[in-house]
Amino acid sequence: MMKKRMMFLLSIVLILIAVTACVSGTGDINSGGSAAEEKEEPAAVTELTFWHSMDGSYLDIVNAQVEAFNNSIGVEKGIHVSAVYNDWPGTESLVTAMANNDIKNMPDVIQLYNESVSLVRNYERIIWAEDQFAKDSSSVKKSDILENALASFAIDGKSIGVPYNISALLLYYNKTFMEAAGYEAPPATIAEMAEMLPVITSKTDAEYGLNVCIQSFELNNYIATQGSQGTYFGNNASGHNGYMTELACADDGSLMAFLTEWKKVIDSGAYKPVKDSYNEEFATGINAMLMTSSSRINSIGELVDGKFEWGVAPIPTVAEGDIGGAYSSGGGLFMIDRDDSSKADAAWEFVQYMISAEAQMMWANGTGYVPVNVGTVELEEYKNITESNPRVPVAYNVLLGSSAQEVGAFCPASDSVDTIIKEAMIAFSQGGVVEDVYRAITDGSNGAMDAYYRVNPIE
Amino acid sequence: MLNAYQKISDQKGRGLSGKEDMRKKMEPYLWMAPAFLIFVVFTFYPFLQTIYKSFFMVDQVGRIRKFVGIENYLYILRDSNFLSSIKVTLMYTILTVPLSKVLAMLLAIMANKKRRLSVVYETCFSMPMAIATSVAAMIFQLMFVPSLGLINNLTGWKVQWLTDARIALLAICIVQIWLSIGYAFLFLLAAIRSIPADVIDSSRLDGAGIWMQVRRIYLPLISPTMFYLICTDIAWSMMAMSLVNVMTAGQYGTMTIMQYVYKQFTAAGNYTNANPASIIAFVLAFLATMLSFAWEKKGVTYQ
Amino acid sequence: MKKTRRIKIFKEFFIQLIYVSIGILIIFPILYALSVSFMENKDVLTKPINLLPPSATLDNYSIALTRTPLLRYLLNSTIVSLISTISRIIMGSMAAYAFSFYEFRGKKALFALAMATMMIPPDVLIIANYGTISKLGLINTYFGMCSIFLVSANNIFLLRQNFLSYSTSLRDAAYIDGCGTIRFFTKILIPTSSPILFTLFISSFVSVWNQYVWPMLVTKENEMRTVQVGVAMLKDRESSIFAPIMAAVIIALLPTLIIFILFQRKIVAGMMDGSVKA
Repeated sequence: MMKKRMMFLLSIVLILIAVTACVSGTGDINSGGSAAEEKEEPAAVTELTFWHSMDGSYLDIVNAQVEAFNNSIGVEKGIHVSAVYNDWPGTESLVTAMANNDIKNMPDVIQLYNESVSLVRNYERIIWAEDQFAKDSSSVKKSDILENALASFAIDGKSIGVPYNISALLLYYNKTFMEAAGYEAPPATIAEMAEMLPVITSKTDAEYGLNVCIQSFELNNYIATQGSQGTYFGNNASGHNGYMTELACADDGSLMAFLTEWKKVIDSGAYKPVKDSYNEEFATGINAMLMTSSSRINSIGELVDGKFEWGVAPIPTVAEGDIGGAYSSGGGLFMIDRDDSSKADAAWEFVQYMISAEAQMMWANGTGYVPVNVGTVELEEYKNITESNPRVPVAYNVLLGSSAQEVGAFCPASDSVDTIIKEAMIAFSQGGVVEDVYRAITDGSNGAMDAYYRVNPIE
Repeated sequence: MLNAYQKISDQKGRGLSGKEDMRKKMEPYLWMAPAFLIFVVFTFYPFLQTIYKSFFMVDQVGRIRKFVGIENYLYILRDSNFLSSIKVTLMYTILTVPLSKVLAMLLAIMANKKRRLSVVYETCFSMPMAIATSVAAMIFQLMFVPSLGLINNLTGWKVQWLTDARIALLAICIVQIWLSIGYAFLFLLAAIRSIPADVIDSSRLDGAGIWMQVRRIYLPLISPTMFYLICTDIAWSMMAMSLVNVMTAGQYGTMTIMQYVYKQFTAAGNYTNANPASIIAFVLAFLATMLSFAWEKKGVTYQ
Repeated sequence: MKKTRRIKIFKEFFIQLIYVSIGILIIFPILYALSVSFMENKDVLTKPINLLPPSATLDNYSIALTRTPLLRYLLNSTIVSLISTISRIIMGSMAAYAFSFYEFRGKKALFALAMATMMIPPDVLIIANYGTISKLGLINTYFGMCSIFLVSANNIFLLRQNFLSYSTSLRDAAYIDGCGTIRFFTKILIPTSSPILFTLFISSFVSVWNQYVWPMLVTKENEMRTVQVGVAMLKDRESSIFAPIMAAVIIALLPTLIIFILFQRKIVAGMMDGSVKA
C-alpha cells in the first residue's frame, strides 16, 4: 500500500522535475497574463521590462496604461512592454541585480520613489531623462511637465528621472461639521486651525478635530511651504544640488517655527496624533479634519458615500506670509542602460507615453493622483471629470502654484529619519517640550545620515 | 551494525574485500550527501560569505569597500537600537515559547480521549498551523485596528494594540502564540496518545489529582516531544522577523534582532551593520539552543 | 443505573460542546477573515462592527481573481511546494537514516553542523543565494524557486529521533535475512514511519507555501510568482482596503487547509497505534 503511494509520489516528482527542466524560465508553459503575446517576429519587436510597485486599484490603472501603449505606439514602433510588480519600495531586486551586475535580470524602466533616489543617483547605468528630453525626436518636452513635479526628480537642475504618479498633501475637511461649528472656510494657518479644533468637537459629534501623524512626508511639506519661495528641508537644496548630509531646516529656524505652531494644535486637546485608519475614521465622522495625500480622494469618497459634505484644501501654513502649497510627492520613472541601444530608445518612447496627457488622464479616473502633463487639463474627458467632481483639480492647482524650490528631499537613510520624526512627534503630542522635540529630530536625523555616509562615503 | 555485516560475511565464508569494505564505510556519507550538498551551497557558503563580509565596510549595493576588522561589531554593540533589539528578542522568546507549549499541552490532554466529535475539535485546535505568518499578520491587523477594529469594537476598550509601546510587543506575542499552538498541539497529542492508558488509570486509582498526573506522568512521558518542540522553537524565535515586519515594521518597541538586520539592509542600505548583526543573532540562537540541550540531560526522560 | 448512564451521556455531550466551542474560538480569526471577504469594503470598519456581511458580495473575489493571475499563482505555489516537500522528505529521511543507523567518524560533528543550519537566519542568506542562483542561470525557474527549500534540518532532527526508536534487533534481523541497506530503507523503514512522514509532508508543504520573499526576489515575470505575492499585490498602500485582501487570503488559504484537513486524521490515527513514538 505504502509502496504504491511511494511509486505514485515518485512518478509525480519525476514528471514535475521534467516539467521544470523544460520550462527554462520564460513562462512558456501558459500564457496567463494581461497583454497579448505576439512572438512571431522576435527580431522586429523590442521587449521591455517595466518594474513598478503599484498595488491595489492602482495596479489596474498601470496595467491599463501599459496595455494602451502596447496597442498603439507599441504596435507602430514594434515595442512590447511587460509590467512586473515588485513589493514597495521595489528596490530589493534592483539592488541584488546591481550588486551582481546582472544585466539580464535588470529592468529597462523602473518606478522609484524619492527615498530610493540615493541608491541610483551615482549608478552609471542610469540613463538621465535630461539627455532624452534634449533629443529632437522627443515628442514630450520638459515644458510639458508640471514644473514642481519635474524639480522633484532633478539633480543640479538636470532631470534624472521623470515624475510619474504624483500627489500632494492636502487638508480634508468635513464641511457639514465645519458649518455646524460656525466656520465657512477651511483654516489658512496652523494657528487658525488650532483655534477651530476644540470648537468643532464641542459643537458636533466629532471625537477629534484633526487627525494626522506627522512623519517625514508631512514635516517635509511643512518645511517646504514656509517662506516666500519655499524652504529646503536638508542642506544642498535637500540633496538636489549635491548631497544632503544634514537638516538645513534645523539651522534656519523653519523647524523651530513649525514646532512652535504645532504645539498650539497639540494643546487644543482635540487632536489625534496617531495613524489608525485615516480614511474610515474621517468617513464615519470620528475626525472632522484629516491631512493626507490627495491620492486618497477616491477611496474616501467611496467610504463617505454621501453621508456628509466634505472638501479638500491646501494645508494651512505656518506663518501668514508663507507661500504654502505642497511639494510633488510620489514615484518617477527611471531608465536603465542594459547595453542595448534599441532598448534604450524604446524605453524613452515608453516613458514619454506614460507621462503624456492621455496616460496621465487615466489617473484621474480612479485615483487622486495629479496629472504631471499640463496638457491633461485641456482634455475633454478631464474637464468632464472635474466638472462632476470639483475636488479633483484642487491638488493640481496646489502643485501648479508651488515654486520649484518646494521639493521633496533626497534623504539617504530616509526610513530611519522617518521613524525618528514619527517617534519624536508622538512624544511631543504626549506632553513634550518644543526644545526636546527639536533636539530629537535634529540630532536623530543627522545621526542617521552620518551612519549612512559612514558606509557609503561621498567620493 | 557492523556485527550484522560480520555475521553475513562469516556466513558466506569469505571476508570483506578491500573494495567492499571501502564501500561500506562510505555508505553513511553517501546517504547524507544530497542533504549536505544543499546545505553547503545554500546555507554554509553564503553564511561564510556573510561572516567574511562582516569584517569589511560594505556599501549600499553589497560591494566590499574597506577592511575594518571587528570595528563593525563594536559599532553595533554601541548602538542602543541594536542592544534594545536583543532585549526585545529575548522577551519575545520568553513570552511565546513556554506559553504556547503549555497551552498546547492542556489542549492535548483535553483532546486525548477519542470522542464522536474528536475530528472536529482536533482539526480546529491544530488549524493555526496551516496559516502563513503574513496572512495571520493581516487578519490580526484588521482585528487590532484601534478605533473600528473587531477587538476594540466588541469590548469597548480603547487600546492602541499596535501603536502603544507598552502593548505592541504583547499584541505580537499573542499572534505568535496563536500560530504556534497548532503545530505543538499536533505533536503533543500524538505523544500523549502513546502513553499507555493503564498508566494513567492506575495513577487515578491511586488518588492522584489532575495536576499530580500532569507533573508525575504526562510531563515526563512526553518530555522528548516537548524537548523537540521547545528546542526548535527557541532557535526560531530568536530569529523572528516576518510577523513583526508586517504588523509594526519594528516600531513601538517591537524591533527584534532580525527585524533590525532587515531594516538595516533594506531601508538603511547598510549592509555593514546588517552582516555583523546577523552573526550576533546566530551566536545568540546557538547559545540559547545549547542551553536547552543542557536542560535535556536534566529534564527529559527517554524510555 | 439508567440515571447514571444518562448523566454520563450528558457529561460527554457537554464536554464535547465545550471543546468544540474552544475550537471555534481558536479558528475564529479565520472565520472572521472569511466573513470579511464577502463584505463590501465600506462595511468592514464600521461602528458598530459587522460580524457578518450586511450585504454579501462576490466583488472581492472577482477583484482578486482579475487583478492578478491568482489561479496561475496557485498553480505555481503548488508546484514549488510539492517539489520542495517531496525533496525534503526524501533527502531528510536519507540523512536521518545515516545518523540513526550508522556509526561513523565525525557523526556528532556532522549532526551538529546540520542542526546549526536551523540557527542561521535565513533572511540574511537571501541576497547571497540570489547571486548563486543567478550565476547558475536559474532565475525565474521553478527549480530556482525551490532551491533553498529542498532540505530542512528540522525534518532531519525529527526523523532521527523517530528512527532511533527502532530496536536494533529489528535491523539486525533484517540484515541477516539478506536485506540490504537500501531495501531496508525503502521496504521497512519508510512504510512504518508513515505517520511522521505525513506530518512532515503537511508542515513542509505549508511552510514552503507560505514563503514570500524568496519566490518574489527570484522571479522576474508576473506569471511565475506564487500566491503569497498575489496577496501582497492586492494590498493598497494609499488606503486600507481589507475586503479584497481577505478574499485573496481565503483563496491562498484554501489549498493548505484542504490538504491539512484531509491528512490530519491520518496523522493522528497512525500515531495513536503506538507503532511509532514521536
